[in-house]
Amino acid sequence: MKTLKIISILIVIVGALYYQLDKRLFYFGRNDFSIYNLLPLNIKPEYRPSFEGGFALKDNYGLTIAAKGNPHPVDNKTVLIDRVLRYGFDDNNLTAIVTDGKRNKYYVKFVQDQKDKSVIKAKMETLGFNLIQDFIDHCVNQVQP
Amino acid sequence: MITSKTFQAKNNRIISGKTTSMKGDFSVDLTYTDVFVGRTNVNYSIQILGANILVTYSMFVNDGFWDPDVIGEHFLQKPGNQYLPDGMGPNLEFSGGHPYPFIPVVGTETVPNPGYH
Repeated sequence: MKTLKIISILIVIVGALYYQLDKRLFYFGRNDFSIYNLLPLNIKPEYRPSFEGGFALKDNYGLTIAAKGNPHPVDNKTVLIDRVLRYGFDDNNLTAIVTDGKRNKYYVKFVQDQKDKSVIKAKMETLGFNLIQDFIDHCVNQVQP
Repeated sequence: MITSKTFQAKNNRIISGKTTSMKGDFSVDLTYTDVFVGRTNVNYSIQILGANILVTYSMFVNDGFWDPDVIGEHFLQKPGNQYLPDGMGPNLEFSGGHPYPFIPVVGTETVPNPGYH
């Protein structure tokens, strides 16, 4: 009976530790359980090996919003994302720093569409000093995949 | 693939104008719908043709019969070691195994433009 109690307590402790670890791995897209919604706008990170395009950010419906090959307008041209370098977030916003194929850096801010709240809109700009400062100021939590 | 609930759900988002990007990808888990193990990748692109949009899907892209050692991948993977998934490369293959890439299947559909510009 005593052994059974000890085993039960151990299972609970190991389960709790595993859950906490898996929750932390969510930010890097390496979690096992798909039960967390820890980022604003229900954005989900996904780890992928480099031959599959590398790290990606997806919307709540599983479509990529920042990943290799995603085009976003910048000024009057369209820029294809090559790599997500890092992302940061606070309670309401999520922004990412990405590069194109020539390693130029860009700043992408994701906001909720005012007409349809299930839609995420992206605003991408060339990364300048003011945007780096904005990223540091507003993104309390930062993650480097 | 295209009759699976997951694919249909993504397709509905795309043709109703609810994507963030005009080009991107998603994955579909076919384990319980077909003789297939795990997820596979689908690329999509949206092209505006006046009052309509042309949606092109490339299915089974960047995927293949490779890296079958899922135990090694899950428990022994470290940056730079031989348990890192590498597709057609030598990592995570069993002795005598012959990895091969899937041939992508391309499909298109034309629907009224829901508001893409």
